[in-house]
Amino acid sequence: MDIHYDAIIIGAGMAGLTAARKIAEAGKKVAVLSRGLGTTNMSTGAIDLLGYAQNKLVLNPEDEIRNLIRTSPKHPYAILGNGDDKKALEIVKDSIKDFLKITNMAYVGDTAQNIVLSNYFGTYRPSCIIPLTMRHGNLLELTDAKLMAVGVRGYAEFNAKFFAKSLHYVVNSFLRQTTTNEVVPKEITIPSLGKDKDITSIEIAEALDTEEAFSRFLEQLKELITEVDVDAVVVPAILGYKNWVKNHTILEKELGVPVFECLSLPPSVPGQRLQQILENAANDIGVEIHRGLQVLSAHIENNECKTLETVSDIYRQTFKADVYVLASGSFIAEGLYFDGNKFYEPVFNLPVHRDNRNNFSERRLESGNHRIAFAGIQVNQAMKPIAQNGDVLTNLFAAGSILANYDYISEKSGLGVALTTGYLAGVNANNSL
Amino acid sequence: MERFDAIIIGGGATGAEVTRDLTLRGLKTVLLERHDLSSGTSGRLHGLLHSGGRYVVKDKESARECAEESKILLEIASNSAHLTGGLFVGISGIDDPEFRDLFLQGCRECNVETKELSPKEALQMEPYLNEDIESAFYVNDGSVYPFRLIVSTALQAAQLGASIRTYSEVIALHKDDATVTGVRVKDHRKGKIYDLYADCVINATGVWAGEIAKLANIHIPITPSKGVMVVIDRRLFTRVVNRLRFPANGDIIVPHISTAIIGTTSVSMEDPDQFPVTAEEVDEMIREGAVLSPFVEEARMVRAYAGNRPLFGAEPGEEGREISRTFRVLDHETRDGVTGLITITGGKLTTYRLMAEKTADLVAEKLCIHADCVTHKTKLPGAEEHDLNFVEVAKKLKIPWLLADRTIGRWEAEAKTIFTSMEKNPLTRLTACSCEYVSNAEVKYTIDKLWAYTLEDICKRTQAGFGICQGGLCTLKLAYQLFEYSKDNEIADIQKAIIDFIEERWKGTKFVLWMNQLRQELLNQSVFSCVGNYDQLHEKILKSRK
Repeated sequence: MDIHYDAIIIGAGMAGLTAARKIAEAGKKVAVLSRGLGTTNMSTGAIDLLGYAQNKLVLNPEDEIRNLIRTSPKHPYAILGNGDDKKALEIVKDSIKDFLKITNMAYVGDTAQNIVLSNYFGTYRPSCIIPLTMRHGNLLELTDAKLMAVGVRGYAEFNAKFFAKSLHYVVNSFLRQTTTNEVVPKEITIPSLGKDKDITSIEIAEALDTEEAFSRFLEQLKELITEVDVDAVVVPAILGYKNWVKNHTILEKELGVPVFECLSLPPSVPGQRLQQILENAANDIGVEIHRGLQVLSAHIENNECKTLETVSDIYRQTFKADVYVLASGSFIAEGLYFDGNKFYEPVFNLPVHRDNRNNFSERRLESGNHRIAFAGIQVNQAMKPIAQNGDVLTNLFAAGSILANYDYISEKSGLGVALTTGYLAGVNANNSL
Repeated sequence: MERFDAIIIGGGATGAEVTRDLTLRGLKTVLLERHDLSSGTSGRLHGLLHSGGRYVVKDKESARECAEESKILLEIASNSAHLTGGLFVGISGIDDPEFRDLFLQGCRECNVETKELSPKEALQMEPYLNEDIESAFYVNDGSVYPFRLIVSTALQAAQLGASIRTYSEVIALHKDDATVTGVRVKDHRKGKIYDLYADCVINATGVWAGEIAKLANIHIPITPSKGVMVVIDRRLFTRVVNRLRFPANGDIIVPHISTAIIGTTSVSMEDPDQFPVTAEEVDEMIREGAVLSPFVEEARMVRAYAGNRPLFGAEPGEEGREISRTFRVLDHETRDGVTGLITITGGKLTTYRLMAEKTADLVAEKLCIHADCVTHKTKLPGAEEHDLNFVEVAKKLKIPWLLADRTIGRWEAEAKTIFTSMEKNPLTRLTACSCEYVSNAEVKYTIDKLWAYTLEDICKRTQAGFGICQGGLCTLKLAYQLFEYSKDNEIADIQKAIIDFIEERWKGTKFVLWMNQLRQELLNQSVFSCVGNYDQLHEKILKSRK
């Protein structure tokens, strides 16, 4: 038996869940079909709008998005406003305002100002809309600060000594906008997780959601802070899944100095929290999220998508809706494939746009030269993908990293493009109903 | 002035073994290698321990040598050489059926043990084989992990007093009339140049032997012969599997722990430093590999790489003769009138010990030293008997049993050193690489004892970063260890080491980026560039180091 929805979204990451929310908010019946956990789970949890332009650190993303729209008219940000930078920025701002609302003040940020965050590699990178727990980690505002970096015994992913030395060196040598006075490494333990064995950020975050483990954590930090006089405390991204905002507030209050989490490697706790925020917001307004479903194909008649064929571990199922949003992600999420010879999009067989240059450049760390990052599907100004025959499907929209013509790696724009295009695709899809 | 009995140039299998051999004979030796140990051809092969089967038809001399030497290696290097067993299979309609009789006859002539199998028996032994088998033979092929073999060899030499110096390049030979008296060395790590002197200089630089000889105005005819290999993500076979045909491209799959390597090609090259991999060669390996097993096409390609074999060309007066793939010891005193210099080149990994023995014999003769070779009966560190049991170790140290098992599997008796350090310092029990199960203690061991100075050096010795993620998730954890335990590294050196390693791994992965390995690469780029920002920072960091 087929179930009929007003809208079906393929993909449960930032783009898909944002689109789903916008449609469901208007009272429509929406389903999200997701194969995996959503790639947002694997993100750092910080939403980058635009971190670099022409390989220069962006301080004001609004200004640089305006430039980008002029120089790269095919960039997803340009498509947002159909070439009109004012309109595009309006959508950027609206979508972020909309996002901040669902986070219940747990995220902060300003589209006119990038902040520069530290990470486990002991280097820095810009971002824009960030979890509250990272707010005080803006290196641009920590000029000449003395920091304490606190590691957790057994948590091998983060090495406070390395972080301390490296951040001091990298910031003072290469980030000309600011300096760091000193970073002092310290270590604490989470007794409930045992001693001298590998523990993960997931285990620590789960432990810190409990009052007992958190109070032991706080006690140790309090003791450390009496030993050295510091301006701020940096911890790995571990402050909990449920109580992270509360934990962070208590820490800052009790320690009397700013405390912040730094960006971590996937799978990161803040990335998982972000995914949870998006899912909860969608669930709250009645979006059905169907997990473990692979969309096999679409049934199309007269340029209109009629149904989707899906398969799970147990059965095949047909889904039917009036309008569809393709937010299935790029290669990592298997929204796109490259089999060594050809590129393809598996559900609608949309043409994958790319230039004729090599997929990858000679060197691995060559900013902007891995052409495969630009591969994707092209959409018109309504966010409708262009099919093999050059037509558009009348009831299909697309958003997120499946889109062509931008390089999220070197630009640092991944979640920003996903959020803003997901928002517009959702609004447009809803308007078409 | 530093003086030695012998200076050995080249830290591949042969150079390391010549050092071990001469040191065991009581000589004071120094080994000089311009990069890391086994960074040349010895580290760029498919790791087959030849039973000799591959050569019985076309190169009987090599076949005999391999048959004898592989048996010795299984005794003395049981921690890095394993008798997996091997099959030669002829595929119906593709492989020339007449090769079967030639093979059988060759095996008899060269003392290569073999046993004919029915196609059904072969398929029972290796269920993933192509089912269209016409004929099949069992041979005593095995696998060698060259990095640990060579490091263990150097370790034994060092324990007996040899000086092992990596990242030390010979930039000139000192000559006194027609006698080579020493070498000028550039230490790339410390950036200084110094001189060493010895009674005998041994040029064991393999495919680069011509370049060292040129420093003494001697010509050695060497043709680099490139071989390309592709690593797949599954072991596929328990044993080595060869095609039963004349040697040709893509005729072998060698299983290594949880992966398998498809090899190889043979292309003459001009420059020993050039061994590019092309997309066509990778395709050919996959295509030919798929003839041996259709499951190759389903596998995930993890990386591709190439190495240059040193093929010794014809000596003057030898033209027209079939040149064997066996090795040559060149006495430059009789050959070129230059005393104090000996070159060893050609050959193959399986016969490296024999090559070193013959070289050391000549050195002993020249220096009037009466000591016989004992390398064939002197086990390498780790190869001695031990009673380590992974269940007990895991229980005692409270580490995952897989970590204990893999550590013993890699180091055998030497694993004791690693477990002792875990006992002393509990934090070293943590896992540095969770694809290959490598502990911090093992990484520390390679830094403390085995001349690991870079992340790549660590990985070659431990296999960390060689799993499916190709370093995506362990690069940082390995860098932490280098930071904690290497003595003379500044933080900037560690940041440089991270960048170097990211690029070094790329050399092999960039050829196989489609489907799942493409996803892995993009995820790795997210780690390095989206989190670490290395795409934007690498130039700045590297520049500040100069």
